Amino acid sequence: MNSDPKKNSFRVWVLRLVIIGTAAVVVFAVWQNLQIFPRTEDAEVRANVVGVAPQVGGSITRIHVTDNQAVKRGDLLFELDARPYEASAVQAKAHLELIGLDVKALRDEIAAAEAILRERRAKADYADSHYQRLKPLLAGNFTSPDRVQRAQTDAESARALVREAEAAVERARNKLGEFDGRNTRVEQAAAALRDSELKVSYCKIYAPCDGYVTNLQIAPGTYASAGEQIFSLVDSSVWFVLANFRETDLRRIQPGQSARVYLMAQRGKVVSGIVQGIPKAVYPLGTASKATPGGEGVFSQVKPTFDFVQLAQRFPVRILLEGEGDFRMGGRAAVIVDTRSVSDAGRLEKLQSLEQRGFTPPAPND
Amino acid sequence: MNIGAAKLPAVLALIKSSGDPLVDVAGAYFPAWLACMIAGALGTWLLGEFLSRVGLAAVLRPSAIMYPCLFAALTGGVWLVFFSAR
Repeated sequence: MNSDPKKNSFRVWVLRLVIIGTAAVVVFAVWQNLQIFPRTEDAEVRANVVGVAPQVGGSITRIHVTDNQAVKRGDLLFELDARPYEASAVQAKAHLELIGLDVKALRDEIAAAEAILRERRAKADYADSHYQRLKPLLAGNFTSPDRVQRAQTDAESARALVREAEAAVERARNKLGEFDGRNTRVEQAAAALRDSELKVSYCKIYAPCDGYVTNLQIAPGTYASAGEQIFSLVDSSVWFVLANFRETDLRRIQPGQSARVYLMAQRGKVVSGIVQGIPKAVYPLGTASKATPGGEGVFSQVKPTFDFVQLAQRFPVRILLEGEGDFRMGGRAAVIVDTRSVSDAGRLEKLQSLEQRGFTPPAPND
Repeated sequence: MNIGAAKLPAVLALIKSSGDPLVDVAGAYFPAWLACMIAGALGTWLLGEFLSRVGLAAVLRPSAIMYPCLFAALTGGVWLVFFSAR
């Protein structure tokens, strides 16, 4: 078959060069592909989680949802025994009405004090003018010194009574407690009533977002303390993937770039995503140096190390998932980012706006 | 045996998978590069056998250079066809 050794040698050299050349080209192509499309198999599906906790304490009377149920924003989740808070609200309302009567009485008191003040001012004016009229008559002996002195005493006494009445008016106004047309006593009582009414309304707990009830393991009768989490609500408005990329890949990844997400739960399907952000910090583990400010001075502690293989730190890049899907928080995923894609701020803003919707629980008089 | 250069992209598109970077082996998921390395190692062995059968064993000498090159070419080739992103 290979009778001509010269020809055979030529073939061998050509094949060798083909193999070496192919290897070089292929290795370069692989490297370039990984540069343009950085990928990681270390990624996890996440969603925002709302810890559902009542704002007031009380026994749970009704639970309107079941575990793993899908709920809509504003749906009633569970109810607490509102009777103690309703009693407090009635008490606060009665208190407000009493304060209203008190305020009316104080206003009448002021009116009475002002009337007394007016009367005393009139008397003081008369006493003063009487004294002023008598005083010149003393020189011509048309009146006695005793009458003049009595008139002077009457005038001074009347002025003292005016000051007393003025103080009484001021005292009554202070007691009323009005500033800039607002009555502080009424405001205080109204705020107490509002607080009581809010507490009554807080006995009904509503879903703050569209989502799924998770880890609901309680039954009616359970005592729920204020602020203590009863169960979790997985916010289904926005799903995202935390893809742990090596720090060496991060300089090419930019917010707004497209990403392909391969979910382990949905083999053979590609979910499109968009890079939202790259964290500025992760907790440093296994670092050679450790700064302990305030500890042993503010010097870094540098321990001797013999690790010669250094692993690149991974940073969780946040990738928002687009479209509806049967996503599950904690599911594994692999991610490829397309660094050629142009950043699309509009798409990103639209997704982020879903995440930043506010929620205030419904309350009376809102 | 020879595929026309014009038909190559169509053939690649046919055999190309979804590009999923994970390979399912009986419920355990392995990174694509591991599968490619196994394929590369098998390919290197088969091609070595084939070359020695047709009397071209000398192509893979010096083995310290030629075997790694063949292995790299096959591994990378499999990766590019099945797992590269486009």
